[in-house]
Amino acid sequence: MAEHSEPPESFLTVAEVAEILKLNQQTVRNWIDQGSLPALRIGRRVRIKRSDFERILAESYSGGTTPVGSRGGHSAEGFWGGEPVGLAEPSGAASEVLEPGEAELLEDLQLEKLEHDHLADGSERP
Amino acid sequence: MSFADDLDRQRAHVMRLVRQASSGWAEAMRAHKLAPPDAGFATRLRALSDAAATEQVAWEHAHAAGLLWRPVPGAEHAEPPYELRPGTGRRGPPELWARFDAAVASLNLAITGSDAAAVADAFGEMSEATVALADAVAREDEAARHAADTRSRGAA
Repeated sequence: MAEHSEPPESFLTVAEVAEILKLNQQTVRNWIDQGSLPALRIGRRVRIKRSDFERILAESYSGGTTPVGSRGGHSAEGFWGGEPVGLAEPSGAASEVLEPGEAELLEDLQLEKLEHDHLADGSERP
Repeated sequence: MSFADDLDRQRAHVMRLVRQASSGWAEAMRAHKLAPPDAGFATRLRALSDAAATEQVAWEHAHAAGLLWRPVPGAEHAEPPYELRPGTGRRGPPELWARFDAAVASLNLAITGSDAAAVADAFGEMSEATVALADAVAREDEAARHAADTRSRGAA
């Protein structure tokens, strides 16, 4: 009988996931603590299965967060027709436009930056 | 905390204000869009005025925080919901409707650009024009009710 062999699972560190997503490491740790991102704890070390990470990434992507920069659905008809229109964008970043719902994303990014700036320890736990 | 952090927090706060104001405005628009002409007209106008005032404050904050209005292309000749358009039998003094129509035109012009201060001013004028209309329509409603009461008492 032929032996069925699968490629060995590879793992990512918190720092690698954070780097891939351009997020703060603490955010990734929060996801792990909340159970949003499955992780393997080996002593004090934390590793994330690449397959878990890629699956969650794919699910989040198909979840439909409108990419920053898309211009669809922003119209005068919408403004007078009962759709939230006219969300703020940072001055000096005129090329980066925001759709309804994307303001939340901007807030997340801003909070992310604050987290990043205030974290004393940004390195992987030993 | 650094100045830059304060600025970021302020912007995040303003973004929330703007989102809430935008939702309130959208709700007021939907109320006008879906409503039949009835005695609730004055109430809807007052709600629109409140929503516009909230937008004004939000966009004043946005301007102060260095944020821009996201331009709405082609809004110069956009029309408000049907019951607010000219020629649809709008109740209320014509001169106040003329002021409202001018406020619509100013707002349409402001939202084609990105100047948050201009948008705030236009919402402010919209709020004032609309609350004047709401008061006038409410007075008309009250007078009509009074006349109806008088007639019914006379008939009895």
